[in-house]
Amino acid sequence: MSKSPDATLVQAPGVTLTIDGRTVVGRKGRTILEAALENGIKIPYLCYHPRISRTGACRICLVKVNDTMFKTACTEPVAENMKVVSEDAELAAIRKDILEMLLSEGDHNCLYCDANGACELQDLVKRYDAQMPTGEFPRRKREIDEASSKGLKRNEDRCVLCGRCVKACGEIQISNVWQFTGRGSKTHLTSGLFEKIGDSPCVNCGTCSQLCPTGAIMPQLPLGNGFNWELQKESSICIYCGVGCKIDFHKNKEGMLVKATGNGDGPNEGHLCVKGRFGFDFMQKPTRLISPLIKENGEFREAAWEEALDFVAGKLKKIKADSGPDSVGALASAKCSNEDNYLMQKFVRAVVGTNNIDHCARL
Amino acid sequence: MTNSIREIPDSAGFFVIGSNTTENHPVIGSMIKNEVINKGKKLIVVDPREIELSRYADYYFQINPGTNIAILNGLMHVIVKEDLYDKAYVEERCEGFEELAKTLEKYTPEHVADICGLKKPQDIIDAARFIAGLKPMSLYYAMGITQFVSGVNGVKSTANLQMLLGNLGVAGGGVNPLRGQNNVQGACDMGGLPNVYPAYQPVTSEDNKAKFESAWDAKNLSTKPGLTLMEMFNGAIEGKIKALYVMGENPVLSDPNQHHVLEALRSLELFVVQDIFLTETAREAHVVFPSFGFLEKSGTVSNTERRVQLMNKVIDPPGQSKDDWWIIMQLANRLGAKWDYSCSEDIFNEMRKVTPSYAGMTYQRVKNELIQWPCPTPEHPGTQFLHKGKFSRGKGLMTAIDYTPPAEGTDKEYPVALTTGRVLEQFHTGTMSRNSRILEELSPEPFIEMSGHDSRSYDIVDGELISVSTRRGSLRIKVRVTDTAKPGVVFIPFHFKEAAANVLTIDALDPVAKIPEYKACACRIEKILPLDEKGGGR
Amino acid sequence: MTITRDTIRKVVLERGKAMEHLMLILRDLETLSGNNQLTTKTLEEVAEEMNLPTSAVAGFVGFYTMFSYKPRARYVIRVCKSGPCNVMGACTIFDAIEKHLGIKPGEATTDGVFFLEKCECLGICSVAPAMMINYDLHGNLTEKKVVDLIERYRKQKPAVAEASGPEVEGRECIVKADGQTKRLTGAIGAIDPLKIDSYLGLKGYEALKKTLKEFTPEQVVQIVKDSGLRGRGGAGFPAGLKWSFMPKGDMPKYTVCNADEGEPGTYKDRILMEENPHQLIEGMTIAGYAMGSQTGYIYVRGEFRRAIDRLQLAIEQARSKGFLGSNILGSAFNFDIFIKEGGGAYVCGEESSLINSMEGKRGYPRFRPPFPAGSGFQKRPTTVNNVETYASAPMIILNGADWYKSVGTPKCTGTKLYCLSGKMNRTGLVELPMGTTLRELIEVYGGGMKDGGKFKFAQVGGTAGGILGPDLLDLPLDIDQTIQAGVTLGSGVVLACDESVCAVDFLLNVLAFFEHESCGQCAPCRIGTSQLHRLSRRFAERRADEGDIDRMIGKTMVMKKASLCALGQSPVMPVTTILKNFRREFERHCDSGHKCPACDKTLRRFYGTA
Repeated sequence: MSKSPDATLVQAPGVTLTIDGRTVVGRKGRTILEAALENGIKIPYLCYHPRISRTGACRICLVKVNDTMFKTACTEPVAENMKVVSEDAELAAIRKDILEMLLSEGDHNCLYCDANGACELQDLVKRYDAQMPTGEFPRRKREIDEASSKGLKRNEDRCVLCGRCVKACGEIQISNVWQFTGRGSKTHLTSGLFEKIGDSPCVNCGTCSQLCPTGAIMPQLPLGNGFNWELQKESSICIYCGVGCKIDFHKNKEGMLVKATGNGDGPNEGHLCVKGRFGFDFMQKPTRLISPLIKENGEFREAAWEEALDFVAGKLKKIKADSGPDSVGALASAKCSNEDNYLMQKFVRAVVGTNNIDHCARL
Repeated sequence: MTNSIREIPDSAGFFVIGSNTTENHPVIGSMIKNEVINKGKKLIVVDPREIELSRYADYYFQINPGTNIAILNGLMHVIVKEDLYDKAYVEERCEGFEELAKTLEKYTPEHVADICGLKKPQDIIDAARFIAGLKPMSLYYAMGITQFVSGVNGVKSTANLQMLLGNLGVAGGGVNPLRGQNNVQGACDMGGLPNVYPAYQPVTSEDNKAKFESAWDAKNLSTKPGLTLMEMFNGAIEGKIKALYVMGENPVLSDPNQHHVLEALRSLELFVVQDIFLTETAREAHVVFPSFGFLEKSGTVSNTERRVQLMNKVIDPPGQSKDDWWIIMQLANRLGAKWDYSCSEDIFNEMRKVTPSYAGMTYQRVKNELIQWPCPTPEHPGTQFLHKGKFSRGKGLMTAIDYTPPAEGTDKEYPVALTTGRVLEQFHTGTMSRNSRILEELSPEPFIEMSGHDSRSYDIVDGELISVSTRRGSLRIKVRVTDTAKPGVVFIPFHFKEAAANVLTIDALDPVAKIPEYKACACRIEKILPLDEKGGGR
Repeated sequence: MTITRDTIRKVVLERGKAMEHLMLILRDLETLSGNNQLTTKTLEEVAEEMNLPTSAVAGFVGFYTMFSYKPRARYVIRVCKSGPCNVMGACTIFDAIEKHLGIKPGEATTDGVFFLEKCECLGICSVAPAMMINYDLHGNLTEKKVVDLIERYRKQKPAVAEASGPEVEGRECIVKADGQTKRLTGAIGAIDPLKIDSYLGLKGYEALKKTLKEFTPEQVVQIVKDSGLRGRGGAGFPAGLKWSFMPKGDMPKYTVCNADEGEPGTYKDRILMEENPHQLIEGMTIAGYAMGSQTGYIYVRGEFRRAIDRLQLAIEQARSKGFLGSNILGSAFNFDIFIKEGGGAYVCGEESSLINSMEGKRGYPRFRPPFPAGSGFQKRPTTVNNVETYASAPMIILNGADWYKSVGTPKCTGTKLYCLSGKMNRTGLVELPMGTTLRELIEVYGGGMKDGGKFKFAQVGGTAGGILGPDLLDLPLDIDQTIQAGVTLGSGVVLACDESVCAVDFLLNVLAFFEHESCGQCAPCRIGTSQLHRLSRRFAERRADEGDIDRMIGKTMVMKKASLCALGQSPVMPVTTILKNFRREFERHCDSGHKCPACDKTLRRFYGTA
């Protein structure tokens, strides 16, 4: 029987190599980049992402192997006694050159970009002090499609053609909406058959936007907005189906929810569907209930907790006394926590004295 | 699920029956697609609708609604007849094979094709041979198996097939029900059922009664199983149930035969609803308690693979709303209890003392480890898949099961089969998804899905408003003509109150699980004629 | 005609539903369309019939220049603008067509009969300038000839020898000069390429018989190793060694022939395939035996219709005679060969791009490892060699390793097919021992510079090759000695240029080629080729400053270090060698007052500026 890939990797034998003079242990079959990241060595990259297959396209992670060869750390497997230089003046110059090429290819103006402050390209531009293009290489106009899709916005002027979105859709969501088309300097992305995203077979899972290293593909925001560096993030479990996806929810300074991203530690391994990605703003709808309500003459009126609780407790006591505990029933909830459900059934059984407890498991 | 989500790469093949996985459990749907499309794994799909997964299937059976047992029996018929089953496994680990085999005899491919509405009986033979070669094969199902009067039997049939093939108790195999709500597993585990305490300990047992009386410091716990949800509604109409306390549910939209539900709720002396919105159900209440939404509270939930995970508080709750457990505690204390929980973790720690399958878990462990129940001790790593080596009950019980048709067959008056379900962008009664801007924009309105064949025979075009009626009620709804639908079968999602599918559905129940038959009833399709053609309205 | 769903279904059924057949399915449908267009509706239906994502079809069609989802016309006229044709006056041909039909590249005549495209090398460079009308190749073009041809097509598609192909037979492209060492080309002219018996009459398939009778696979590999045969595609890797990398075992293994001869100036493989297809088939079968492979594929560029047709016929003949198929010649060896076609992408000559293209994908090169011998076509062990390499196998088997290495240089044995083009009195294919000098090639076999012109430079090895000035005229052109001199033999192209050729204009053409042919996958090549093209254009426009020379060199160095495949590493050679030889000429072009009619003509023709 085959083992799951993670299991084999955990058991994979160690391979000893040096990176920048440091002896590190990588795992057989994995790459220099993975070994470096596991050992806290930050080789820069754009097209690599742990959830997708190796690409080797951005060439930013170029390292020197055994003094003689340039290899991309994201594709080159570790080997025993391998000597890797991950950063020196020559590599830094190459990286800077590539970054400046990428800058000249697009329109990377952070001022207008949703990814400002959460952009991997921006981080690298800072790290390698890449300079703004001088305009001598006129850039090709590329597609901007911010409205056709309810879920996604696309601005290809911010794209570095790393291909993460193509693989996000082809290897995680498996809708294969994105693909490169054209060739060479005219390479660009297409969704579906030269369509706008909104007309393509996209199901708005938003995984491409989560993996996009720049602001080229961004999720539409249903509620709040805010600077990326002001957002606070906390994880929870999706409220919809039973898969139990772990989600990081981001809120802004005002406490409004802004966006949701898949958390890699959950059963979803970072993936989300459209509901997990976009179905959270109901939490902060103004129509939420904010006070206990008691119905009088067919109309609800707001009531204090004490009053509402006393009213219900009194009624329950009376019904239980008059008609017996089996005249009371309760429904627990598949939307509430284990603790809530445990307490509800304990309440019904131990306090009311009946087993009339059920919930919508069958629906 | 007997097995785990992370075992999906271990399966050689997938048997998906009664689950529109890519719309209802999309993340698992994508994982299956990845295996099938990108890695060449095999896929068998059984569903009355030509769902997305059917496009990638090696075998796809578009069966009539409610004929799951027939097709499963048909496949098993061939497997037994051609000696393709895992004999060593069946002999060593199972019982009941002889009776099962005897029952299967009459489910010849021709007979089954006839019941299921399939054109090519040979496909059943080919598929049976095919799946017998897939080791291990995992079986996935959802409400398309359970929501029938024969739901329990359908579940048992899936287990029969997997036992016959030796696919239970192995990594990458299993019978894997996909739970439809984020904590439906936990709600069951916690004893949110009329017949069992937490961890499925029967209420009828005197031992359990004594155990819980001691643990809860309670007297006279009832040993009489309580009423199920549908029975409570019936009880309310009959006057036996006088008070109902509903936490976080919306039965007015979610339960079959809406008229009946409303009548029940309106018969109550006390109807209390605890929710985050004034739902269709809350509107009927005498008292409404505002509670926290999921991002405002902490606590644990248990997913479809029995994995327990921690929810964290992300945002501040609005207004006077309170945590669900706090509200219950307040009521309990007013009724004489002396509960003093200060946080959800206090409750969890009490719960695990009386819940053997959760006994080894703590908040700390759940936060840092991947734990699936059973996890009986603090040292136990949790259980990746069930029935390893031997079945929980000893021998795996194969059950001889006959196909029984849905409660309401089609007839001259109601000639079309109606089935219901969900769409990708909406969820359940829409309390959450329809209040989420993007989801609501993506899927804003109800529709009835109809095959091109039917649309032509009814002279109906895509987008036309038509009338659908059953013996329970009728509604007007827009038609979506699609290749997904099988001729003679229509589908309506049940999220939309403006055309609530459950006005139409039948409240026939499975005799054991009391699950309503949402997936099959008989309906009538009528064109809505313009007023002048009807000869009225002048 | 409009392509109906039934037509699509029929074509898909005929070609096969798997993704690897996408190229041929689209080619069939495009031909059937009558106007050389694959509409988005057609593409959508193809995706549905093949159960592919629509985006995969969109990505595919967008990659290969021979396809278009936009409307074209009944006849697509593709005029070559690559190096040899450019030197020989491609601009004039565009001018003539524009004058006659009133259309620029990318436009159709209003009657929907003609659509004009510029294209890169068509592989008939000895008769440059050249063009292709649908799949018919026409060379030796003059203004008058172009106009005559167009008018003939307008009346009726003229009949060529077979269904389509070059108007000039391959054998006519061989230089008629004594003194050649004719081994690979020895039988050309004597053999009727359409008849297997003709090949059999000249010891055809004797080598295969000998192989199966006398040698184990290991022995075959050893003989090829001993012969010193090195890959003739450009990299010069020892063929026997490459074959020995194939893993042992019963798994499917693929013997792939790279016949995507796209290097401008190269046409030797086309001639070998057109004139002696069985020689290649026999060679591949021997190689397949040596590597324990059961299946061979010949990936032929889509422009080579005649080669494809003749190979297909030859394969069928070989099957019927038992040289291909099961239990070949009564042995236990099974081997068959199938043809795959290219779609107009130079990069597919790179072996891993070729493999992706064979799988029905965009021709993106793959990073290594894994190497093809471990994971190639359909992730199975695969060996890719050039036509010339495989075609050498039969004679090595028949005559022995020692005989083979009796000519050539010690480390580069055997003969080389040199493709002569450009400003010589005689252009065409010559077969000579490895290590023949440039001077000998030009003066003896090329008959000297055209019309007594003065030799200025030659580009050797194709567009990716280096520029050889008069100082290197006596350099023996073999694989190693060229590298030592800072240039490359490549596929054996010699493009000779006289004083009428402007070095700036020449480099602009070279760099336009690389931008057009870069696959676009890796950033340094995608952006670097574009920026190099732009920089060279600044010189042609006389807007450059002298710092631009070093900036060009700097870009090529980054590309050399950082690019994913050889294409991105290619510009470094032409750029550095041309700048080494003609730096003054580039500096003169920095002066806005400098007059250069050659640059002016190119700018007006292809860039809309003067």
